[in-house]
Amino acid sequence: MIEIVEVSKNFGNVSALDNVSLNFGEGQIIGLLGVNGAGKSTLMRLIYGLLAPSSGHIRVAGVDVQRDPIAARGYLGVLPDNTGLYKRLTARENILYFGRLQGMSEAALQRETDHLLALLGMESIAHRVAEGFSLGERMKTALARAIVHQPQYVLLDEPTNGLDVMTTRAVRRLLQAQKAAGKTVLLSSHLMYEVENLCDQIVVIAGGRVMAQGTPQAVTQQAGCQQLEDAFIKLSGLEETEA
Amino acid sequence: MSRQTLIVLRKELRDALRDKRSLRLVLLTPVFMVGFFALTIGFTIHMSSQEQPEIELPVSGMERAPGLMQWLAEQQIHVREIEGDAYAQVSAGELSYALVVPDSEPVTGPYQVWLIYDAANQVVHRDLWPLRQSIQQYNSREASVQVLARGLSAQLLNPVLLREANVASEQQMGGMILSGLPMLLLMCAMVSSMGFAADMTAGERERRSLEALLINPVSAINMMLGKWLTALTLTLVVVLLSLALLGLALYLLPFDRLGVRVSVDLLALSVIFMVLVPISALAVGLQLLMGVVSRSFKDAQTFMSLLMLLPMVSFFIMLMNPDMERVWHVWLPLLGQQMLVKDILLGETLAAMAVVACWLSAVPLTLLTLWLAARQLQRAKIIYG
Repeated sequence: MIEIVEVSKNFGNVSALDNVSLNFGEGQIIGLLGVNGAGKSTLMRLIYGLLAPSSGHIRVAGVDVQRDPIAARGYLGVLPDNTGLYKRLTARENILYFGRLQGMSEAALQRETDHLLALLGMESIAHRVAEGFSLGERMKTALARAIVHQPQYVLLDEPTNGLDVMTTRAVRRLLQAQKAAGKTVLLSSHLMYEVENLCDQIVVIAGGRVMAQGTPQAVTQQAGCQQLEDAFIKLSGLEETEA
Repeated sequence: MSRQTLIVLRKELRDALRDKRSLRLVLLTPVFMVGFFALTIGFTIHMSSQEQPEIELPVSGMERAPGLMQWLAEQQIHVREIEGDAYAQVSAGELSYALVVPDSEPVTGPYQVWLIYDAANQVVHRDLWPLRQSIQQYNSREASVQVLARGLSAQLLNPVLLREANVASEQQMGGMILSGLPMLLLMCAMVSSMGFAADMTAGERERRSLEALLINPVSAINMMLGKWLTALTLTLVVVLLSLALLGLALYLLPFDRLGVRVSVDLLALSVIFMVLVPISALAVGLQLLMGVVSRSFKDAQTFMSLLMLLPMVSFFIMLMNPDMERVWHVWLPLLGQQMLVKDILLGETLAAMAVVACWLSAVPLTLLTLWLAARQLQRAKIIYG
């Protein structure tokens, strides 16, 4: 379980997150919805401990992220926003490097890497250096690199941003496999259809606050709307610009 | 060393070895450096072995001083008569210099001849010295002849005779010629892995892989250690290559033709290497620290190129104070190494303590740079810009 307890984060005078409390249980795909600047990336960075909360605390599998970030990171697999690869290493070497840093045994690492390369349809690029990869190839490599160590919690910041339909499908298949294996997937997105089809739970964030939480249907109903997109716009307080 | 440090080292080395362009550039540095050195020495040898060029002396009024003219001719100086105003011709640049024998003898005092030259013309200085020398010799010869003719000893004219003896050993003379080498070697140690250090720090940020890297359960210090070992390995390879090429150049260059003896054997080169290891370690630590705090790859390289100036600073300090060799100087990083490398090249035997001292002084500073770099690496401001 990831427990976020009364967490606030300020950058100078700007409040990025304001008293956020959330719990993410096992075997779920959770969608984090919010416009740009709503606080999605900040919340993720707090969970993997590269940012420190101004107040409150976060526990990953019972480990306080502030107190022991290295232990907490052992439970996490993270695809940060707009992440980069080592361009002189092949796709496979990029994946192996992070797997080794995660402390995997060499046999398990090779096995899991092959498995992911097959699952994401990356056999053709496995032995090519990352220089010159397309956006989709980069994203798939980064995703495989993030989850090769089979983490209990998978955090993905806009994983399908700018991907073509086949790649998006491959990613979706992968996330469903994670869920089936009892893992927790937390993904941020601003693509409604994506979230609606994939996620068991959604959390709507606006202005650093949690505006709604629950299944997509429950959130839509809670806002008194027919469509999730309408509910999202209403909850994010964007209606006036629409009119 | 932890397993994670080794994993980082392995990956970074592989990454660096695939960066063929940077690698070529770095490995060419010692080739250029030693090549430049060999050319300089070769040029010096060439210049010193050249025969004195013949001097041609334009003279106005040759017939008025036949004795002097004959003497100059005997000294391999070709005299020739010129027409017109010698002064005007030298001012106009038509002649580099000229000797004028005035037609009127002075009433009292010595006979006067004028050497007219343009000191702004660099070419004349080479010839003027032997010319003056020859005329002085003529002077004393004539004087001796006249004193002898009056029945006195020629010794009266030279109560004091200055003789010189140079006690510097041939090897120490060689050291003079090698004085620029410690600076070149230190520069090699300071800057060789600059590009790689920048790539592993600022480059990691610029290609946006730093955040993902730091999310792995690895302590920042282990990560820094791996990167430091990578850069240190590369630096030491370049330093070794430089020393090998230098040893070869010193062995092949015909120093005996300069009248000096240079004996830098394998043992001396090994001691130089041992002296350069701690300064390489410190330089690499500084490079990584600079790379971590730089805004971009470009900034990092600009920042790091300042490291190139440091050996020059210590070189000029040594140049200004040639006799500063206090015991505590070997404890100053860079200055100490500069002194020790110079001493080894001069053929002096080093106290083992001096080599230990330059290690002991560099190790804590290196650890400090690594600790600072690791601390900076974890700061949100560094990761997220």
